[in-house]
Amino acid sequence: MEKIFVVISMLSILYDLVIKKSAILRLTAFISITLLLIFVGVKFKHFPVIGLFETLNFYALSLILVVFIWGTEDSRFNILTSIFLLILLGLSLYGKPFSSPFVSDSLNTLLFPVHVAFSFISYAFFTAAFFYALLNLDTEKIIRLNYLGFLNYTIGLWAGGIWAFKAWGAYFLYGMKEIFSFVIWIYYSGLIHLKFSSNRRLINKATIVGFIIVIFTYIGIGLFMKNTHSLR
Amino acid sequence: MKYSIKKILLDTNYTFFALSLVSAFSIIGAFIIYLNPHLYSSIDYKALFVWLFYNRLPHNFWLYGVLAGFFFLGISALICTIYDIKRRNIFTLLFHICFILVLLAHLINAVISYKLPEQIIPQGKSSIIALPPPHSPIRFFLDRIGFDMTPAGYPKNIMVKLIYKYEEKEASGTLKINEPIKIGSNYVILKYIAPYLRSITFKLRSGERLLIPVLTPESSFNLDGTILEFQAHNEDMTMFKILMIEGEKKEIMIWKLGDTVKIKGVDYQIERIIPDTVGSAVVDIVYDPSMYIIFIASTIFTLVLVIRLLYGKF
Repeated sequence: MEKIFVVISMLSILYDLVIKKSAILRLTAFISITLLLIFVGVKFKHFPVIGLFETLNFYALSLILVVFIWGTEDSRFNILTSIFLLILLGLSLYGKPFSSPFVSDSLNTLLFPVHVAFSFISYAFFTAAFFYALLNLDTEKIIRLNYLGFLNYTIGLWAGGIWAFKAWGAYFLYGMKEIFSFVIWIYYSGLIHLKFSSNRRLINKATIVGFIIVIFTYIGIGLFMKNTHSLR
Repeated sequence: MKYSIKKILLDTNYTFFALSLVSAFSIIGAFIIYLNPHLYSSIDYKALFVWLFYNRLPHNFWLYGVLAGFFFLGISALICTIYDIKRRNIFTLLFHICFILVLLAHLINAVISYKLPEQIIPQGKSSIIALPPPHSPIRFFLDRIGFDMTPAGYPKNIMVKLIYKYEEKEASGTLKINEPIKIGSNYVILKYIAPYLRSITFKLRSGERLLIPVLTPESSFNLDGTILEFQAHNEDMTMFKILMIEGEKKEIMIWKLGDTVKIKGVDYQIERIIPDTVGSAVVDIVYDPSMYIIFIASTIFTLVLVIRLLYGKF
């Protein structure tokens, strides 16, 4: 049932990409994913950011919203974001929708949705910045998007740190996911220092590298490596 | 020379490269840990410098790289702070002060923190957990365990009522997942609840002969000179690891229902296994005085990021 919403979103984006360039189609995708997440959240009584299926859809939703507000008229940018959205949504079909009426005690805290939601909102900002950098577009916008991503990521990490202390007794563990999460923060804190730099190419390259780290942290580690934040 | 070092420390391009270098060392470290988990199994339970002192491994070069990077960044942030005061850059001043505070907090954490993992507090008896000096031990009494069972068979809404005595003061508290209790300057964190085996009774038969050894985790059982020691059990308590000592001969055996075991040359069949269990809380005990500084500094840092955005500054 949940996957129908995803298919509708994918068809809207595909139609927008191939046939008709229209913001309404993206809006359809946005509404469809929003409805899906509300449906899952109400049905299973949790904030819908558990597992691969929900997080990918939340990521896609955040990206659509970020591109709505901070996007550009450049057709290449819109094509790339559409393809990326199709990949995210397509990959979510591979994930199993949450099916238990209960969430474990450890997820039963307000810090959980704050940690995960802000992290994925930050990923959306980093993704948009990546496409700007890849196409060598507006550097000022890249700086802004990186800052907004860093801000959201910091909120997510702050909540995650407090939650980790309450649940594990440590705000940091020497695990793959935790170290890479720390790396994202450290790396982007360096990247936002580059706003004073006159070297635009460096900003672009650094933004591309940052996004590779982000995607590896989420998909690479989440799916292919044993860790505390496994998506499998 | 003096001028050029100061210039480097104030240059944001160099800051980016230093942070990238820390990132690179950390990424290398993440893979080293992932590929050698046995070398790093205790790193989360000890203060970092204490761990490094006892684990002088060539694999740890990345950790020294990260520490050197942070040393450079700490100096750089300090110089930037002085510069921010001169220039009255309030936002960047606050960022740098918070960053320095977080670094100092981690330094404290790396020297004096500790974590005692997976301490078992069984129901119905008093348990004493010794803490590293100069901390006094904590005496626990598990009064009650409460939980709801989900249809899938998982416990939910776990609640553990503890009575504890620390430095002559007795108090009680309720422990839940994500809700630790503070005892002195230590945090007690509930990890999970589990059955605790008080004793296990075996009924062994060989024709008309019957043997009924009762084993406990704390003491061994003497069967006419043959010592039986309980070592471990599997999760659902159907298999038991038993050490049998007969004179000079030591043998580790796995006992399960229906198996035949040889004791003093006689084959016995395991006819019945009767475990006597109570509930227990499995907790971590953590001492980390740096957490308040980290919490306050990171909260201010986050708020300044938001306020700066509201001022339209990116």
